[in-house]
Amino acid sequence: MEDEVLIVGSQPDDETSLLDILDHVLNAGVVIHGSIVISLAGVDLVYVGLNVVLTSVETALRHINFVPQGRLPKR
Amino acid sequence: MAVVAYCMMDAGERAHAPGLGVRSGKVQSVDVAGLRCFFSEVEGPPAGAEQTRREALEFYAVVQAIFREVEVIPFRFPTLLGSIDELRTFMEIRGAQYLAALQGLKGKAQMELRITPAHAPSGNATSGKEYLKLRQESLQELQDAAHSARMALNLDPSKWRQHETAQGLRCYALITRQKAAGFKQQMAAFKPETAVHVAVSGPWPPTEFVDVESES
Repeated sequence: MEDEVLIVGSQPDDETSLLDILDHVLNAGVVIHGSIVISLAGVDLVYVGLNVVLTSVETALRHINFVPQGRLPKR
Repeated sequence: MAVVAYCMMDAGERAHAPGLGVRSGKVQSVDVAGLRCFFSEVEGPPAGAEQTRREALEFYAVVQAIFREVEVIPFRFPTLLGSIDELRTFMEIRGAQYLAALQGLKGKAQMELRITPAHAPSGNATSGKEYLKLRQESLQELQDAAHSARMALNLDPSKWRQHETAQGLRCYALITRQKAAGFKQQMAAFKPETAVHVAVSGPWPPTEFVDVESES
């Protein structure tokens, strides 16, 4: 197969492929790590690896589903 | 309401942000100790893959618009905080480091190379051992191509980063922004000695060269 050098987009804002853009914004940039221990009805739910979300407990509670004791929430 | 953070810039510089961003939220900014952070207020995280994709593009449009005028350090999408106060707290804690990084990267941008094998590296393996051997040989070809590219570009190792990915190698070159077009011209003329594909993109904000310790 021929060796190939492909220039993706001479103007990044006009021609950069959708894939490159999504790959970039989802994988590059500052990450604010955090882990939150939320106590709900006496059960401690530990979120680990919140690599892209740092939120207050109040905001997190509005957006999570309650998980029975002994099980970690799905990501 | 949650806060989606776009990017940071040196508040001493001048740049115009778009009026609207993710989910048509007004793009606002907050300054703390010389660092400016752009954000919008939204109702929680994206719901589903399609909305995430759409909002990632909206996010990109905001960051790129600002980046056209000034160096920025973007946040990864989606970075959501519970309030503007939480964003201020982050800036108070980390602001000095990011401001120093921005000032050190003034006038710089990042070009990216995606180097992938021209053919499946281990398609003909008949054993696990042979599979691993073929993969190692494939990786070596990619690394040789990356080295050749860096030499062709006459880039100092301090201005080069590379990482293995599932698809191959991702390389990052730190350049002066004005040299982005010249970089692409050089790469268009580059002929790898090994059987690889090289895709070039940029200029991007120089995120790979921001030397700030990770959050914990």
